[in-house]
Amino acid sequence: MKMAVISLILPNTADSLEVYPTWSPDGNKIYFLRQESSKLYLYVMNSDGSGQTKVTNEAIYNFSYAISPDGAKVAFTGDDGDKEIYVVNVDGSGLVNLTNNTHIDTNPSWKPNGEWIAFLSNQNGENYGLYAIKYDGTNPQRIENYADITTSCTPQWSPQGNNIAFVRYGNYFLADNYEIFVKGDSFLNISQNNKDDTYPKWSPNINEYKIVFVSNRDGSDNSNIYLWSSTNTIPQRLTDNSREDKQPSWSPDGTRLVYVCMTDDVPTKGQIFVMNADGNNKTRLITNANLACAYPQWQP
Amino acid sequence: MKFYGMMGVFFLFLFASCSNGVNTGSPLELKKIVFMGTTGSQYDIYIMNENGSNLANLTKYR
Repeated sequence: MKMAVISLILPNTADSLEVYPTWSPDGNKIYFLRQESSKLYLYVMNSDGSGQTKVTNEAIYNFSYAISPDGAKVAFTGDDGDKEIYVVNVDGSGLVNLTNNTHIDTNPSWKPNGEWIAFLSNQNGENYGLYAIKYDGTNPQRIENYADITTSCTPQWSPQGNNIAFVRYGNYFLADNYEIFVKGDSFLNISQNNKDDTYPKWSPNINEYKIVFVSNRDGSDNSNIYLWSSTNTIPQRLTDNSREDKQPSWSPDGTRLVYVCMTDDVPTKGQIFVMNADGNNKTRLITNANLACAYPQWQP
Repeated sequence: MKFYGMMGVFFLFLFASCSNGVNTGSPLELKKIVFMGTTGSQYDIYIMNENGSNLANLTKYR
């Protein structure tokens, strides 16, 4: 059973929509994508919804944008002819095309020190590989020889900045068997199974190496949430629900997780839960049969 | 007499705490959780406190 990594498809209607919110690093602003004329544009607003402002007139491709660690810049994939990585100041000034080639470059991710941006590209004439470039456009380089990396998951730097997690197809032609790899001090395949492991997110606690991810490795048709750590490399199952659990996001201190759960009483619309990082103390925050929730993000 | 003296010290401490804005009993400030949600065909951006209170749609009335 194949697990949906990105289930959202933009409706081809005149309806507007706002998707994929992200907090600014200081927790004061919320960035999000707004659909206008079938294109997505990056907006920012205050946390009470006021002051909604378009950041750049460049359209965004593949929902992919990332705020720099100091909150001053945004890296994004431009929805231009061949999809490039751009950087722009959060006030819209200083737009720079970092990649500027004839291939597709997408899914930018800032290194925690703000010096480098990792991204995915097919510029080597094959399926997507992992690359990095300095924020000023210098020193582009391939940082991993593996190809077949999925653009459904953006590479994730560890908070220490010395490891990066990415998701690769075990079987590219079937678009199946997603595996999570960690490249850095060592090279790890933390999946090592024939199921789908996706959506890796590092704990923000700089004193630990933990990744929470989504998987159907238990053999069921539904996804559950698992925890891998450098001190316990056998992933620990955190949820045990007969329906889907997905899209986990860490609390800023790394002690709790917020996630989306399909419940028995609302089986087709995601409801939001929180739990401790060891899977205990699950608490339902949203109970609303009319509201389908997705991609919760905890305020820094 | 000693009792009234102790009561005086207690009320002086209470007054000093309040007048300096010291909050000795309230819970820590709640963080917020933002997410995308839909009640039909259109997604909006929602926000709530980390305990689930104060749910609000931030983009409905743009």
